[in-house]
Amino acid sequence: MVLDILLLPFRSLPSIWGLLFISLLTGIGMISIFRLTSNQEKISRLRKKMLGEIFGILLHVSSPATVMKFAGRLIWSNTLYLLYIIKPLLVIAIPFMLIWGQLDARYGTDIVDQNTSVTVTVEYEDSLPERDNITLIGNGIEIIQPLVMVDTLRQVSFRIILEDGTIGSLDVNGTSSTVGKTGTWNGALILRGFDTENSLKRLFCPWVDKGVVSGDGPISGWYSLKTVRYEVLGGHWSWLAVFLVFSSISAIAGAKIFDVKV
Amino acid sequence: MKRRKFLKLAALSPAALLALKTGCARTKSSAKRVIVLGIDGLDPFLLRSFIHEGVMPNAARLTGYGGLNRLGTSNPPQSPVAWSNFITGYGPNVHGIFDFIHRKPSTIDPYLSTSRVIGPGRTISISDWRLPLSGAKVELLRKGEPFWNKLTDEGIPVKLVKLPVDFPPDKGKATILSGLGTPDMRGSQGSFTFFTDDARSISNSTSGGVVVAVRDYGDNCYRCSIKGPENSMRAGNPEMEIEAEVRVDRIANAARIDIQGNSYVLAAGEWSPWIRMRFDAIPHISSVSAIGRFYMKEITPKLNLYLSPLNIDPLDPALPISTPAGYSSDLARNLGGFYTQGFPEDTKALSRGILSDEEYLQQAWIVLQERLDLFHHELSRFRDGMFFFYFSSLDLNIHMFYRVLDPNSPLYATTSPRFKGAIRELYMKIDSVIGQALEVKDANTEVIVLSDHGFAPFNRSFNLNTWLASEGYSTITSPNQRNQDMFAAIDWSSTAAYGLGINSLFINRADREDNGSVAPEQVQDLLIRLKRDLESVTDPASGRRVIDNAYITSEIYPGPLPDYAPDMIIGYARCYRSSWETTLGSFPEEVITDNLDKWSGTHCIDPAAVPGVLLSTASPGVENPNLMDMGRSIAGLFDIPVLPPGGRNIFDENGS
Amino acid sequence: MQKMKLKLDSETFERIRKVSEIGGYSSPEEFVIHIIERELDTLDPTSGESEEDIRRKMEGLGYIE
Repeated sequence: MVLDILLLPFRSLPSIWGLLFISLLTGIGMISIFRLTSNQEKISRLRKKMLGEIFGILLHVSSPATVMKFAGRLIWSNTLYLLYIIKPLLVIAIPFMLIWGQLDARYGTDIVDQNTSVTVTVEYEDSLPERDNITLIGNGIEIIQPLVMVDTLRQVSFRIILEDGTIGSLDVNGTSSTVGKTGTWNGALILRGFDTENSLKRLFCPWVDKGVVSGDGPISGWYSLKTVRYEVLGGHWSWLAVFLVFSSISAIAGAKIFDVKV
Repeated sequence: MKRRKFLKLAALSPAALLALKTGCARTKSSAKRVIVLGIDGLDPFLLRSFIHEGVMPNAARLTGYGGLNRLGTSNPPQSPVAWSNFITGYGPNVHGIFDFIHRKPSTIDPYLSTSRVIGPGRTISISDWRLPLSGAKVELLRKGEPFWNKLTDEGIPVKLVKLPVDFPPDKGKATILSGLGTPDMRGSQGSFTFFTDDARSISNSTSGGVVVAVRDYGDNCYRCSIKGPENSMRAGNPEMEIEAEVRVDRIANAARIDIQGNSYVLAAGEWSPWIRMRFDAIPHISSVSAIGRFYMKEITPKLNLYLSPLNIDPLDPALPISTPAGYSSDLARNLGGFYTQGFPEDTKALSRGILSDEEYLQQAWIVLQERLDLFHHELSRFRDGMFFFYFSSLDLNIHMFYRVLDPNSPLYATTSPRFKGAIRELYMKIDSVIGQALEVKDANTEVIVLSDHGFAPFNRSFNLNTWLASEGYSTITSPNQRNQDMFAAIDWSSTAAYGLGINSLFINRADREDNGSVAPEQVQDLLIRLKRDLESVTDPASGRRVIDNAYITSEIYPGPLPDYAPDMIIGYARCYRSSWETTLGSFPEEVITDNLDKWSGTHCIDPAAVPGVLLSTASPGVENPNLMDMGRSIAGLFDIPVLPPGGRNIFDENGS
Repeated sequence: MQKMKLKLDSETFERIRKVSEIGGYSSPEEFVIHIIERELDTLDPTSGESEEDIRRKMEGLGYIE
């Protein structure tokens, strides 16, 4: 939801702009959380101390005993440093994972073009039903026969076409789910499949829709979508590469600007 | 990128977008525009007959401007030679392309004439890994300056889409997507893969592709290994491989292909969309992308699954296929995947019986549809300057289906007459392309349609090497090796001449070939004798002459010639061509035989018999226009101070 | 483009001029550049490629078997 509002100005632009914006914002956000949740004074003092210890080693290269003393202190300081940053890192990890899932659901795959079919595979819990007993109902989607039954994997595959290229719903023997762009009010999130089990997974993997069961239908399913690559600075980057590189750049810049001790 | 530059670019972007939008809104331009359609193999005689039939109204309209002109082709009239003549305005003596196949003069090893790959110079070896210190390089072997440089020098925009004999593409200021001569990912001109558990289909032939035996071990699943390019980062350059699992449902007569995490359902008789595949050279660090299309020929009772040659992915090209480098990915983002290989129609799969006539035509229509989409996309963005677009469809499809046009073809009786309609339909499609170009024509636009050569039937094969042996110009010492290629059967010490490539004949010169036997001072006399003898060869079946002209190369191309140039270019008579066996140096028993390959049309004969076509809104003012004139003539339509040096300006009455 | 000066005796230059004219070259320079490029190719026409590579590059060419 928050992401939807943030991304509103980028709706009419190529999606890379939205991704870049979120990446830069995340970098700044991370560094701000780090600043708030870490003890900046302690870190600052420790960093100075560590610098001193490094100089100590360099100045007393000719005296092995002194070097060992400073090296021992340096190791201890490093351990302390790790302890100081563990709390802020843990605090950052939760929003990071949530953002990761949201971004992957938005930028990881592409909905295929209108008129192009997508292969859907559904998986049953026990054994496959008889071919004639499989009923497929599509709303806003066209279902293309034939069904390919894969007994060994308890899977059935078939193709669908999203009629308006954005959203539809699919019902397989009473298990129904949404297909296409959905999840949010501006429909930017691209579903890759469904799961009928209640699990926490969907919080971190928002591209999995909650399948509704009212019969002997399949327990899960997925759609074969294309992975998207973004052209950035002459290369073809996955969304994750774009995100990591640009959020790091903005985090480093943020640390410099706001004088955050990292 | 420097920060400041990046910020500048970012700031500029909305302005740039806006400018782009304004540009799109403009429908007519006052700048000079020239649209050139390069239709490989458009034949003046077939064109005339279809115009008379009334199925090519747009071509008829275009003839109303400047007539239907025959366009002189190259000698030999092979596409790489002809298009190089077009590009440079000169003949093979300048651009260096004499045949599809050249040979290393000393060892007589054949190689493709248009480009070569130079491997990485130095590598570091760690275990069996090889890390290159410099990248591999692909080099275009065509020489000479392209005519459009004179346009780009003056700031005139030039775009050439699917340009032949320009792989890797010229690094000038023109926008280019390379065409004929562009290899597939395995480095060949097109190598399909055919997975089958049908023992009848399995053969050792590797011509045009590989047949891979697969097996269902009872779980209705075939594991198909797809071989990609060689891994130059591993010792021994093994081929990179990925696996596709094909899960068949014999009741539904359909299958699911699982490949690198994606699934595709295909019923028997269906073509898949383009499927992107990544081959890892070093896992997680270095990989290359390729695209391929499956065709599910049959599922039950046997699996027969065709995979197209793996094409260079236009979205992420492993080798340079466009200038600027990002041009091919721009096209792919707008249009999706498309065939990037130079010979996209899989003629070899048809010749080998992997695809039937119908299946081959389906594939050929996929290619043509992609080209039409590409053409439409580019035409709608064309504002000013020169726009060249190349179509391969007529050439390759008429190569394969001339057998339905000519009742004398040995395959005429066994080919369904309904395919005659297919050729008409192809011509009609090309007519619609001409129509689109004419539609955007305004007072400042000229439209030129040209072809590199025409067509003739290929009914009878001439075994040049067998003839040379029978006339005493070469000696066969190992008759049991007659059918092996690369002259396995020959005694070089008593061989005066040999044929290699499609129209090329070479003297076995003592001062050039490692095992040469002819002294330099004897060469001229020998050539004169050969010319006389070749031009008097007749076909015992009909009494007709087989060769119209045997050209002594130094006479038609004066000046110094490279040592890979043929000493003689054979201009076959209509209906004849060098045999398949001749092209790579083997010696079948008979001198002249029926051509039973579905590749039943040819243009690799005497140039006078297969002229190309020139249709133009600008009227040609000189007699006998030639392909070599076209660059200068096109440039002459623009207001530029210096014209390209080669050829004549045919739109100027003085031909200057 | 790199520049390189070349000293030629007048007889050779005259021959170059003549032959380039007969050969249809636009200038003696074009002829000289062409001859040098060609010689470089002749000396090393297939460097970096094995015989197998070369064969494979021709595979799929409809014009040959």
